[in-house]
Amino acid sequence: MTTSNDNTLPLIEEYYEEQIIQCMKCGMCQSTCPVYYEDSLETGCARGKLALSEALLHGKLEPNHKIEMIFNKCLLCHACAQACPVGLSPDKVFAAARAEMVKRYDMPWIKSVIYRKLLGQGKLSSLTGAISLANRLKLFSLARSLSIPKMLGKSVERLSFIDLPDIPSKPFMDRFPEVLEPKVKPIGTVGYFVGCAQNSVFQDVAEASVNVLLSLGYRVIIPKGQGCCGFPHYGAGDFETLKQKIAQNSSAFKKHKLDAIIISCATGGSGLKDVYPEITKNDDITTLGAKVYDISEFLAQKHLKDLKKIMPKNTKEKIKVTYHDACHLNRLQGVASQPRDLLNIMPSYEFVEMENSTKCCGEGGGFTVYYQEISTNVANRKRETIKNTGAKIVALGCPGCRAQISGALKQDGLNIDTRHTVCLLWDEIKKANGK
Amino acid sequence: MIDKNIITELENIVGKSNVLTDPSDLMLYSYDATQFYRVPDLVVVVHNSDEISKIVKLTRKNNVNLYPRGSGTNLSGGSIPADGGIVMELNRLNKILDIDVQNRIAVLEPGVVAATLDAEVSKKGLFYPPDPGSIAVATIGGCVAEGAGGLRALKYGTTKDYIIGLEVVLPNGDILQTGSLSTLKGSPGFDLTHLFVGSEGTLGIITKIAVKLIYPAKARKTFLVMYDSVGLAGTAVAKIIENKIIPSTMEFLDKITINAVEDFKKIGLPRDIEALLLIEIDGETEDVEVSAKILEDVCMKVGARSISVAKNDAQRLDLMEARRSALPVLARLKPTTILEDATVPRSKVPEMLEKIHDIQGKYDLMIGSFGHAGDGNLHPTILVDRRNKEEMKKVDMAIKEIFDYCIDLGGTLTGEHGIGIVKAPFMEKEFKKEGLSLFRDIKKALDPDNKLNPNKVVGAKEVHLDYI
Ligand SMILES: Cc1cc2nc3c(=O)[nH]c(=O)nc-3n(C[C@H](O)[C@H](O)[C@H](O)COP(=O)(O)OP(=O)(O)OC[C@H]3O[C@@H](n4cnc5c(N)ncnc54)[C@H](O)[C@@H]3O)c2cc1C
Ligand code: SF4
Ligand code: SF4
Ligand code: SF4
Repeated sequence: MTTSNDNTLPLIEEYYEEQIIQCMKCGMCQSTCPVYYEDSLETGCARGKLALSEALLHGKLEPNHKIEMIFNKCLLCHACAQACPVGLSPDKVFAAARAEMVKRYDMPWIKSVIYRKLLGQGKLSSLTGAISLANRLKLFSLARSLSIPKMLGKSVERLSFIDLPDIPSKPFMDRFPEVLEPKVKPIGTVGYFVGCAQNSVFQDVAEASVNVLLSLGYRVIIPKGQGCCGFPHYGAGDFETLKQKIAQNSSAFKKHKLDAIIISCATGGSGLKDVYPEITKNDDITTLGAKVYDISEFLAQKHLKDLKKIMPKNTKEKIKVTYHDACHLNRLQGVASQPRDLLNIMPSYEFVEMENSTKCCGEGGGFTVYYQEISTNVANRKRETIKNTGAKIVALGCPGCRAQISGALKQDGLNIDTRHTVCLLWDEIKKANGK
Repeated sequence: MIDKNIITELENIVGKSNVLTDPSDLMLYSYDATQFYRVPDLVVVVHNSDEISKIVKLTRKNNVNLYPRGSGTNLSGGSIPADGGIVMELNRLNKILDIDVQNRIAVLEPGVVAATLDAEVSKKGLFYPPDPGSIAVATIGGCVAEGAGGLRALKYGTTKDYIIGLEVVLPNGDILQTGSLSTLKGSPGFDLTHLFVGSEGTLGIITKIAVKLIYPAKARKTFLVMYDSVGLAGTAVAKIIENKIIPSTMEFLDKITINAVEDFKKIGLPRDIEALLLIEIDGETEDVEVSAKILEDVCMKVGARSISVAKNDAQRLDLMEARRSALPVLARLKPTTILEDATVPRSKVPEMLEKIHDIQGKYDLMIGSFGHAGDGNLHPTILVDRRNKEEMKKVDMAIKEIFDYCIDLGGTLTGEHGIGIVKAPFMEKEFKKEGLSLFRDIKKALDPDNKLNPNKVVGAKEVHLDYI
């Protein structure tokens, strides 16, 4: 199976040798790692996986599948980076290490099918053909988290745990035209990055995002040629497909003259803002033609006052809502106050904080399948903190978290809704308009 | 290599999944924060004293070395399986068994993380003062075994001042209780509790710990004081204490560290000052006010360039930032960070720093120093690249010189990081023949076969390890 005989890992070396060597083995990263919290094994925390990278780098260990699995034992949640006194980003090293493993062993066939054939294909819309066939299998979650438990020989528990709505028969991008004009004279033109989750499963999020932008007076362009952001490939170590995705999205968005690019998927957003520059060594404006914003970041920073004006006036009772900080929004994009600002201006809701709102929910791509038990335990902790707030709704900004948390809540028979912040906002605007 | 039968027996005791033998797993239990390493032959993850006792008996019978380990954050090589054998991971014994508010005692298992204890007792209005820089990850077991200190040691003491009783699995497998798990006082027999505090896992495996708790102070005040020379800062430290003020924290940063803080944090520290003191006093509200006045006076009289006082919690955090970021910013200067722990009488701090400065010039190394000025406990931090073998040789020589000088000044090898392997060769110099031989007799009495964390602390044999 091995494709190379030497012991060095060129990709690790190329990108991250300095990171690896700078780890001073202080162990401070244990303090924030959600995986280490669950099993207290050194394979969980960043220090262990960095030591492993170093051992591979220096030929002290030979790469093998056991080691590949250790690199997969990571939620890419970036919490270790926050604790690291040296300022390392260990999660990036692990993504590179996974890439190395993929190069060496080729991907397991099922990964290749999902990542290369489905997500790797040209357009998002052609993906949905396959998806609707597999509706019952809930292929989105599979695509995002590689969870085809049956095919991987794992139990099917995971499928019933992750909770997804039925996939609509038509993808979002087929239902909406490429250019949408506001009712008033446009105040600007923004591009909308749909992302595959919003295109297929969570279309409510894409709809709400586009509608809120339109009601503020933006012309919204949804470039037809766009595809998946490539983060799942990044997370699974398939850097080749990731590079193709970057090229595809770059050309799709650069076709239009845009003031900003808006995305309502936390993971996708961190991909565009964080992973793209790492790979291309260029900023988002050079790569995609405009600055990238998460939807709540854009709305709260630029239009909080305007939004206040279009909120409903007489709301009878307030519904308690709490907020979960997606790792890829809070830590990777620094977006934390903005969604709260939005929640605080919505008259129909009373915002309450949950304890440890920034702690990962346990959804982490392949992790969710490979380490089902840990993933479920992490999710259950999140559920308890949500439950303790007495909230009826959990607002969040990430499709992965939404599937994971909603699954955890349903497992416990809790009647708590999971909604994207922008969906709540759109509901308010509709309510104000008497719809 | 561990015999197949032993592996089977271990699996019977703790379950298959808690016996690690894969080379990749073993690699991850080979190091601690010294960055030295030696791969163990096996790792066993344990959950209670019963399992531990059985394993101790099993390994002893089969002549296998055993190394206790908490979070592996020690800076002395203490948890490294330096002579091969089995690493015993204790961090799953992580229950706080009782917090007795009336008697102000907590009883806990050794795997509880220090920060967790701190948080849980403060919920009940109590206070556990020892706060090592690694508080967020270090286990209490590791802290007891190392006698860990922290920023508050000057006024509040270190871990050893808070331990009132222990449960220990001895090297022969017996389970012993020392001191008391429920009363603060008691003096029957030898003080076995404190024989195990600071024993670095060489005399027994700690499985239960009773700590004494106190009430937190009502008020505090924080100062940042700048000096144009290390000597002046040293004088200020002495004068403050002469004036009967015992700050809860009195921390020092040298010029290299100050500049590194400015490089990365840009908090507006003057780059030309030679020394910086972070001082915090706490106590009853009125007392704090009175002491604050005296302290400011003393600092200025000694010749401080300037002094900043925090007016609220946010400002306090700003002032603390310089000290908090000392290690992190130094660590960013070079790939490899080696944290040392020289401790001298308080009055000798300026002399020690001068020596460190000389050594730095002599070996052409970068050394930033910071530390607990009030305790005379300095952390000279050597910044190098461990891929550079020549440089690493110089590091060894520099460390030796630092310690020799430290002991000549009447100091000690370690203020709080322990002896482990890295400082074992210096023990005779500090404790003389008689002292060391008594240590060895004690070790022999408890562990005649030298199977528990062998050759650490009082090791007869010099152990050489490579950097990972
Ligand atoms: C960034 C950083 C800052 C630090 N700051 C400080 C500081 O301010 N003050 C300070 O004192 N130290 C400090 N340290 C050192 C270290 O964190 C402490 O020594 C800590 O107490 C070690 O705890 P641990 O759980 O990691 O123990 P480990 O490193 O796992 O073990 C330490 C020793 O204790 C033994 N041991 C562990 N558990 C047991 C047990 N249950 N029974 C018997 N023996 C046991 C081991 O064999 C070993 O010899 C720092 C370390 C780092 C990396
Ligand atoms: S990214 Fe998250 S899960 Fe992965 S090692 Fe870091 S803290 Fe742990
Ligand atoms: S906190 Fe950073 S330097 Fe310390 S062990 Fe973890 S990754 Fe390494
Ligand atoms: S991260 Fe967002 S855009 Fe990217 S694949 Fe996933 S859902 Fe789609």
